[in-house]
Amino acid sequence: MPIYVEVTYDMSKQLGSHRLEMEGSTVREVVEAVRARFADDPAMFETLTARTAVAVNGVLVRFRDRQETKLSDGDTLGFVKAAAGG
Amino acid sequence: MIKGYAGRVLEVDLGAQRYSFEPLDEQTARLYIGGKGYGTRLLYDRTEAGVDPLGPENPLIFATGPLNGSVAPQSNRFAVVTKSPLTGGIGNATCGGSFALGMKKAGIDILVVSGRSERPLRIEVDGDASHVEFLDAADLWGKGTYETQELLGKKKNHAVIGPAGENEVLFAGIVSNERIAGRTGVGAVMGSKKLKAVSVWGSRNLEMEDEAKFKEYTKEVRATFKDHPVLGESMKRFGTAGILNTANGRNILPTRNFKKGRFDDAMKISGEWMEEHDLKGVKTSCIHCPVTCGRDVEVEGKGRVKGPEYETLALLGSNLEIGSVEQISEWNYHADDLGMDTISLGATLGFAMELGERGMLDTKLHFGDPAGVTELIQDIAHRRGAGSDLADGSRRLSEKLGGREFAPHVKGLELSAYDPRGSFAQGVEYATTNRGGCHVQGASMYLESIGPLTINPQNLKLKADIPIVQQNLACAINSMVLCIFTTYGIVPKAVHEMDPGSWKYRALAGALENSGSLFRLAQSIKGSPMFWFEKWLTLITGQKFSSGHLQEIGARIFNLERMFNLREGLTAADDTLPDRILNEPTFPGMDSGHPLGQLLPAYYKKRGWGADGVPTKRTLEKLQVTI
Ligand code: SF4
Repeated sequence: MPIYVEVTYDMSKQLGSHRLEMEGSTVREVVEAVRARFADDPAMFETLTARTAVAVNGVLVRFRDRQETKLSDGDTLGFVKAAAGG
Repeated sequence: MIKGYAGRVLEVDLGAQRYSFEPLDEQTARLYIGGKGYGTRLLYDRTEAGVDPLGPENPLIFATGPLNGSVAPQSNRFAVVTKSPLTGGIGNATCGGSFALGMKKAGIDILVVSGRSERPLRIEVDGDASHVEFLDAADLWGKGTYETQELLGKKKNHAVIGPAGENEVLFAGIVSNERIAGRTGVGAVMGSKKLKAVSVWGSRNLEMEDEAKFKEYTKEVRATFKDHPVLGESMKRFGTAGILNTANGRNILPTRNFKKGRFDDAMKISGEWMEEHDLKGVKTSCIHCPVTCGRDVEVEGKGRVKGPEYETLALLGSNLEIGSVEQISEWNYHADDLGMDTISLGATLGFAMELGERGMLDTKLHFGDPAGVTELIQDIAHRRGAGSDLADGSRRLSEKLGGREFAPHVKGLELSAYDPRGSFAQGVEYATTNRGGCHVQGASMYLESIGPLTINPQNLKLKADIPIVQQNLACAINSMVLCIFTTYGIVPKAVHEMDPGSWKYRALAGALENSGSLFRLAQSIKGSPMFWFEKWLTLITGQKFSSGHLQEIGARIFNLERMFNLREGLTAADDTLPDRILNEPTFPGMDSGHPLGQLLPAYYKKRGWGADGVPTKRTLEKLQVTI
């Protein structure tokens, strides 16, 4: 089973979909795979992911092992923006 | 009279069709500010234990505060306080629109409506002439809130109910313009009094202690708001719906009657999606508010109408597994026009869908399928057929048909759109908030799962402290009466701009998470005004307000509400969460649900309550809560 990647709305405009399927055993590997999709415009990746955090199954990876957080098949890795509303 | 107040309380007895203007009590204003605080004090003093919420003895109190009537951003709101027919405890809700401004222009701080009319009635209040007219409202009875306000005319400021209030739907609200005092069934209380509408006008100006400084300072605040990433940017672009993708990404977006925290089609009901696909024309705002968080969308056959808020998108969207803004907008329009709270409505519909799925309710409703919902919303408002059972909310429905363990409410009030299994402080806040399962009485989730600087939401650190500080602050804000979204401006732009992966960010979040008792101590300092709302209060009233003052006043209001609930028979056993939330994990690796049992004793202790959840004599004395 793959890793499901959910990107922000703005990222999805560039990638054509907000939900991608990727391979990888750590957060670092999968984030790099997403970055590779922006190979034509690496700066765009930086811009779009500024002020976003990465979560695995809803838990921010900074509360796990950050970039080294291990992934299992079927996990969802999400790029999450801070927000406020109500 | 203290500056910022009109100095008058209007007492209206609908049964006798009598009224009088009484002086505002200055001491009460000093202790409770106004709005929800003043209203709660009046309610407590004027009712006996066990008062029938839908009976003539339950007063319906409309309350403004010293910021209302000024040009301060986010300051044109009023509070409604009464005993809730939905929860049996304290009922209150706040609302934007123009009614608060109208009350202050009429020279009225508080309007107390008591008694009950035998036939549909409306009242008109001419503040300048100090005159109240009692008028027959048979021609308006049965009409929606939009048409009613149109017929009443634009020159006056109205608070009205729709068919849901008339038919005493227990989660009916009171509408002003296109905004609603939605929660706890305040509209049902108005309906029980056969009061269709209150219209108010006048030409008084607000007197301030230092008007020149107030104006100058307000200009500065407006500039700060304009430049703020939330108040000036994301809420402007996406409205409150800007939160939806974040809630989904953090696994706390109510989905399938709170069974899950993630919805596959979340993107399609998000603020970003709305901006690109659904937004029509100018965004709307409350009077004097530069944030403009309101959104206009198009509903077939109705034209351009108010778009759905985050709560509505979640409870009528993901919670029912409906991934269509168009569909949710249509239901939202009907709910507003009928005068119903979309949070309780959506949560009760989700509960009914699950009951149906389990064969406990004979219904054609299904998750993910909009068929039958529009008709059912009308049936609920008019109490027709099965709609009448749903009109009593999820708690009563579960008492009748079963399913208590997955009925999505606290104290009878349906949960709002943050699943506490991924936001532990929010869970404690839901469980302990006096009006029940509501987020705007604290918004703890902002510091743990939604805001720009969040701590780990799934450990026990600070999870008993955050709700106390936030609930106290919200009590004070709702007494000024300000929009709770003003608190989103507290986190400065610089923090928003930090990279969440950076060491600086992690250090700051770590310091916050490990601040322990310092966290509450820092808020309790009575120093200089730090935030705009403290400074506004100081400049308007001439009294000194700071974070410490607001924490103290907020705690006073919160404890008085608690005493009201205890007098009505609620106990510590009511400080709980639905079994589903307590026992069913929604995150991989989570053994159980929300660890409320581990947090509640600490919360009680920090509040100065006994292990039985009752405020101690010392706590009440310290806070000057007389009972
Ligand atoms: S932020 Fe939104 S809800 Fe609050 S006062 Fe402004 S427009 Fe009204």
